[in-house]
Amino acid sequence: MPFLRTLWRRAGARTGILGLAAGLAAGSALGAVALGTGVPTPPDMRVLHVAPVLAIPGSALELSAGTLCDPPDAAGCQVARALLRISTPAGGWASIAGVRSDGAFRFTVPAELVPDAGFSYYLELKAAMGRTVLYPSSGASAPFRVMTTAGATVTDIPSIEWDAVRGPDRTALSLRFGSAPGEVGRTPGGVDRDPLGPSSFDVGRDGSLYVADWVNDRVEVFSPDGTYVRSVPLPVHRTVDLAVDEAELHVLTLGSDGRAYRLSALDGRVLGSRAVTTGVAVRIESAAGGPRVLVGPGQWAAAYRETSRLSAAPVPVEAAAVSQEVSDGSLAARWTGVDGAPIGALVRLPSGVRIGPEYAVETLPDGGAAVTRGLWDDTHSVVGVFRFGADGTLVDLSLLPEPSARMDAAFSPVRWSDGAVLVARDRRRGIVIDVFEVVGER
Amino acid sequence: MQRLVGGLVAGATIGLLAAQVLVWSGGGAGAATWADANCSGSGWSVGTWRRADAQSYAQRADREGYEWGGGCYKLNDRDDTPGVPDSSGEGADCSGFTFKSWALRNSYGASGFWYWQHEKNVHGPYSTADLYAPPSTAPFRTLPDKSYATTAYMDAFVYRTSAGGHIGMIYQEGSSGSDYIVEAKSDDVGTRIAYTTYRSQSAYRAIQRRDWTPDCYPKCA
Repeated sequence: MPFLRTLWRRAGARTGILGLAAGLAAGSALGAVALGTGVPTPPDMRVLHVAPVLAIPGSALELSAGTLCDPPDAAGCQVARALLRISTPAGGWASIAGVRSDGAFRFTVPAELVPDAGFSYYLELKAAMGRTVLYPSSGASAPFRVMTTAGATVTDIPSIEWDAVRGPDRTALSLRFGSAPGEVGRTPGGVDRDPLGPSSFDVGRDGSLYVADWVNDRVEVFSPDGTYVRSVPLPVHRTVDLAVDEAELHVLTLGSDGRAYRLSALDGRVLGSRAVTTGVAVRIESAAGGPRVLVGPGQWAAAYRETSRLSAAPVPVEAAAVSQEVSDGSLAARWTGVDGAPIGALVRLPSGVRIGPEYAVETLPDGGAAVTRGLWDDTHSVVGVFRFGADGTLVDLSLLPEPSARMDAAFSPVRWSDGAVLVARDRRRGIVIDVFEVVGER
Repeated sequence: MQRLVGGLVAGATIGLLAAQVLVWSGGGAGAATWADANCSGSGWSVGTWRRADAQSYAQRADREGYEWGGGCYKLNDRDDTPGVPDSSGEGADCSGFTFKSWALRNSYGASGFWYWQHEKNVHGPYSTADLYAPPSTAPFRTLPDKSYATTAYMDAFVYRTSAGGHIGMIYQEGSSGSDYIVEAKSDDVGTRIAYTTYRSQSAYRAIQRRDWTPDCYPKCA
């Protein structure tokens, strides 16, 4: 019996030791997986695309699409074939094979597939291991839609005087760099250091101004007359774009890891957030259907849609006011007039003058529209405000000074509000937000 | 059976704790800085370097950190040293990231290609001052204009003033004065791919690495 007890103890001890060893192995394996050396997960593939919303009918058009997939040499990231599936005038779908060039796939849309009525398209990327990526993910059921400049009123601009920029009608805000209430932070500049100031601003419906002072982890709120009202804490210490709703703020961190946050405009409580999983996060704005995120040119995604994967929804160009630099370098615009009929405008610019970023396209009570876009050449950069009449005629072109280069949300230093364009501008010791009246008294 | 289960639990706990300690220590105990513990990479001469190689190389640093004067990346899609600027932490600065992505040699003006592992803590000899106004002997040059017809992917936009300087490379060309840019932006923003407007900002110039190996290599007709 003593022999049996000894045997039992030894066996028990061995079992414990065996268990300890097995547990160590299992725990270490779990730890290794947690450290990222375990079973690989399929790489996320994003499509980086430049989606047009307007085109010249009867003219060939080149589209491009690249990918963002990490690690880029992984088998699942290799795109063997890229197709552009495009609607045909006969009502079917045609395929255009992409040619790899300049870091992306290029698709040449022949002139006969750009009828007056426009076309629809989506992208189909065939990757290794049988993986197919549609973009937008809705594919043929909700493709991108491209309208045309057919019937647009054409205006030629013979020359542009770069120095003929307007002075502001007034200054809405003048903010010094600092961290006190009513000041804004700035990161240090220097050799190989890009000094960054407030990253964005927006205007509330009551005219209040909201400035994304991310350096000091806050959004500062000012009354329409420029008086400091309060600060709202930001949930992240990153540069953000900013959009104001009724009682909420929407902020967006920029880049491929962008995240949209819904905040209480009163105290900054985080009411919700969602990662942007399509394209790269560029801009956030309040829209009739809810806040939306620009994830690439001409591609918007709902900010907080509760689906596993955001779909870059096609811009509803038939109903929206849109502008586009078209293939010959002209500025095209399209909007809906007061009678519901579409109105188009095409502005041909002087040689060497190029269309820049789109800041705002607004329809006006008289049936016209105001298009606010950058204009630039190799050494100049200004904001152009194109004021169109109800028949698409260019009524006026105002040149405004170059906006702030310190705002990291690069499509937001210029805002439209209540018939005026607001431009954030850099000053040595701070920033100013100047007001340029477009509609009404000047 | 109870001892077996107990052993399993104890072992798993110890194993997981050991893994966590590795995470906290950055992979090496007793290191003076993050870079000391994590930057064991090296570099070597290579005969070719295509724009496509540079694009892939740069993409891998997306979402990583930024360090002024730095150059070392630990590729795990996060900033390993957030909020601690100038501490020998993770990442390159803008010119150092360009230097590595362009596979330049670590000798001022030297031509040829030198592959740098991401984990190699090297900045290279060029600042934005050199990149903004390169001497004729530099392995990069200023482009005559900023039009899309002139630039190609993995060319760069650079500015340099008394107040600051920055350089970002074209990951993929966009439209209307904007592009998908890959860049080491700042301590708080890190290294990223963003869609932004450098092309149309008046302060920026376009520059190009010299002597790219054609993308068609080794199957050029």
